[in-house]
Amino acid sequence: MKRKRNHPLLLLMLATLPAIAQEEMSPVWELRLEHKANLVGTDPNEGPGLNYAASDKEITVMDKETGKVLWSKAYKELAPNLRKIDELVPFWQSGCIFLFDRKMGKDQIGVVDMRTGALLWTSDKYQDLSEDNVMYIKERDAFCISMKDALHYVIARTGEEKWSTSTFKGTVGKYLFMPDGKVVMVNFVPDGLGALFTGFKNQIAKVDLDKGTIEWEATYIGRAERKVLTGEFLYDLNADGDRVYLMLNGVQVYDYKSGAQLWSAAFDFTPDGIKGRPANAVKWGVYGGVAQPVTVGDDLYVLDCVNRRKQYLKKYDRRSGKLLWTSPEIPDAKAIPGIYVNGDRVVLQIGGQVETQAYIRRTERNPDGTTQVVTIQRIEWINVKPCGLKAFNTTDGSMVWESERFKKGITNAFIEGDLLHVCSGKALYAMDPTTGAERYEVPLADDNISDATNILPNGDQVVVIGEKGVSTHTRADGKLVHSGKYKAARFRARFGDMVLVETERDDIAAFDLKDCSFKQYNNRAGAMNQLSYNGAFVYVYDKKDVLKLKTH
Amino acid sequence: MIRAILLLLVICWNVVVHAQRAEPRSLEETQTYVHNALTQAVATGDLGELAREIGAHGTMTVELTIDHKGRVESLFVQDSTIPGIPERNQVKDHVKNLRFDLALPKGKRYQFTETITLP
Repeated sequence: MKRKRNHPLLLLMLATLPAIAQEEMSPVWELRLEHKANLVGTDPNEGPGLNYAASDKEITVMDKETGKVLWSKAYKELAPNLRKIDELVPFWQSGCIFLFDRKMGKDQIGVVDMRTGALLWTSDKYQDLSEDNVMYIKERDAFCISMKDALHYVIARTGEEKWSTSTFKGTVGKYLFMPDGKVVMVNFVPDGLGALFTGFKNQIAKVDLDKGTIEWEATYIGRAERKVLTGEFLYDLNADGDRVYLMLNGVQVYDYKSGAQLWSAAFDFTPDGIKGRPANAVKWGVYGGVAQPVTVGDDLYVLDCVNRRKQYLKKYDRRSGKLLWTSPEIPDAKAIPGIYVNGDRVVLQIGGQVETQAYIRRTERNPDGTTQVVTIQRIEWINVKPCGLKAFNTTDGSMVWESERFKKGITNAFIEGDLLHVCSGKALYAMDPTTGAERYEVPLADDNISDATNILPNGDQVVVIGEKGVSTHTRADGKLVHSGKYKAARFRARFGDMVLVETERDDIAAFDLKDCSFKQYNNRAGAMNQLSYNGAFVYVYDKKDVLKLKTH
Repeated sequence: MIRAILLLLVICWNVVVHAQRAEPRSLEETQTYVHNALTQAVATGDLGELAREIGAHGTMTVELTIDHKGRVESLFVQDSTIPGIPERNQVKDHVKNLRFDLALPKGKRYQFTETITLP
C-alpha cells in the first residue's frame, strides 16, 4: 500500500525535473567593453573586489559587485615604455597588478594600483620574472621576488628593495608568520623554472623580514610545490609552541629556535608511474596520488610510498616522533588517495581519482602554411587502478580486512555515523569500518547519472556526483532521494547546499542539493568563466562582453 | 715528471693567489678592508662611475654579510638619502654584486654596517 501511495508523488517529481533542469542562470549585470579581452581575472577573495579584462594594448578594471567601470586605459597611457604587454598577473591581496612586456632579455614590468589605475613603479631589472617567482607577503605589504642571483624583498607600493640575500635560493613557497615577527619560509623550484635556479637545494629557513637575515636554515625532503594551473600549495606549514611542522610527503618537524630537525616521517614520492608527462607540456603535475597524513590526538598516520611496488602505512607518536608500527606491505598500489580513521580501524582507499594539471604550449600549422603557438591549460581526473579498500588495526598495524568489491573502480570515501560510505562507480556502499561487513549496496542505475566519480556527506544524506548528474541518497539505508541528470561533466566545487559541475567546454551547472534541481550556463565558444569565492556567481568574459550570473 | 711540474705549478699559483688576497682575521679587520674597498670603488671604481651615470648622490647605510670568499651574501638597506628609488635600487644591487678580494676561514661570515657616500 505504501508503495502505491508513493507512486503519484514520484511521478510528479519526475515530470517536473526536466522543467527545472532547463533553467538558466540569471544575469546580475552585463557590460560591453571598448576593447576585446583575452586576459581576464576575478578577485577570488571574500568581500568587495574587482574584475579586470584586458587585451595586449588596453585594460579595464571594474567593481565585481556592480559592474561599474573604475578605470580603462591603454598601457601607453599608464607608462610610456609599456606600449603592449604579453602577460598580466594580479596579486589580489596587494591591490597591485603586474604588467609584463617581454623583449628577450629586456623585459619591462610595470606595477599598477588596481583600484585607481595609477602606475606605482616600473623596472627593467627583473628578467624572466613570472607569477611563479613572486610571493606577496601581506603582513608587510611587500613582495619577495626570487631571481637567479638572490631573493629580493621589495616594498609593494614603491618598488624599493629593502634587502637581498643569496642564502635563500629558489622561490618562496608557503610561509609562516610567528608571534615574534619572524617568518619560517620554505623554498621550491616551480615546474619550468629549473634552469633559473641552478644549485638549488631544499631549504626551510627562519628569516628576519626586517633585515633579510637568515637566522637558521635546514633541509627538507620532497618537492614543496604548488599545483601548476590552480596554484594551491601541496603542503602545509604550521607551528605548535616551539615546533614547526612541515606537512610534506609526510611530516618533518623542526625546532623553531635552532632549526634542528627533531624528527621526520617523510618519504620522497614521485608520481611518475601514475601518468606520463604529455607531449609539449611546459608545466605538469599529478596530484592527490598519496593521501596527506592524518592526525588523531597524538597519533599520526603516514604513508610510506618511496618504493613504487611496496607501500606501507606507518603510525607515529606525534609528540616524540617515535615509530609505533609499520603495516604489512601494500603491494602494487599506484595511488593511495585516502586515509580514514574510525575507532580502532584505519581504512586505506587504494586507487581512484587522481588529478592532473598540464600547461601545454605547442606550435600548430595553419592551412595557409603559417604557424601559431597554441597554449592549452588542461585539468583532468584519471582513475588509477588497482582499486580497493584495506583496513588496519590502529593498535598494532595488522591488516583486519580488505574488500575486492572495488576492483573496477572506486570513488573517494568518508566515515560518518560509524559507517564507511564509498562507491564503486556503479553502486553505493555503506560498510562497517570495524569488520568490513556491508550494511547495504545500492545500485546507481536508477539515479540515471552514469558512473559515480565523487561522493560527499550532506547531513543524513550521501551526495553522489556522477559523470552525468548529481543524486542524493539517505545515508542510513542508501535509498535514492533525488537525482538530476546533466550532460557529461566533472565535479568542480561544493558550497553549502550547492554542488557545481562543469563540462569540458566550461559549461556549468549549479545543483541545489535540497532537490537536485539545477541552474545552468552554457559557455559560448571562446568565452572564459570564473567563479566567485563562494560560488554564488559566475563571471563570464566573452570577447568584449563581461557578464555576472547568479548560480542559484 | 709531468706530475711534479703540475704540482709545482699548483703550489706557485696558490702562493701567488694567497699573496694577492687579503686575509683579515677579525670582524674589525674585515670591516676596515671592505670600507677601504668601497671608498676606492666610489672614488675611482665602478661604483662611482655608476653613481655619476645615473645621477645618484647622497648616503646609503647598509648592513652587509660577507662570506668566506668575499661575496656579499646579504645586504639590508638601513637608510638612504639617495633621491629616487630606481637609483637607490641600482646602487644597492651594485654593492650586492661586489666581490671583495679577501679570504676568510672556510664557513666564516661577518656582518657589519657600512655607510657609502656618493658625492
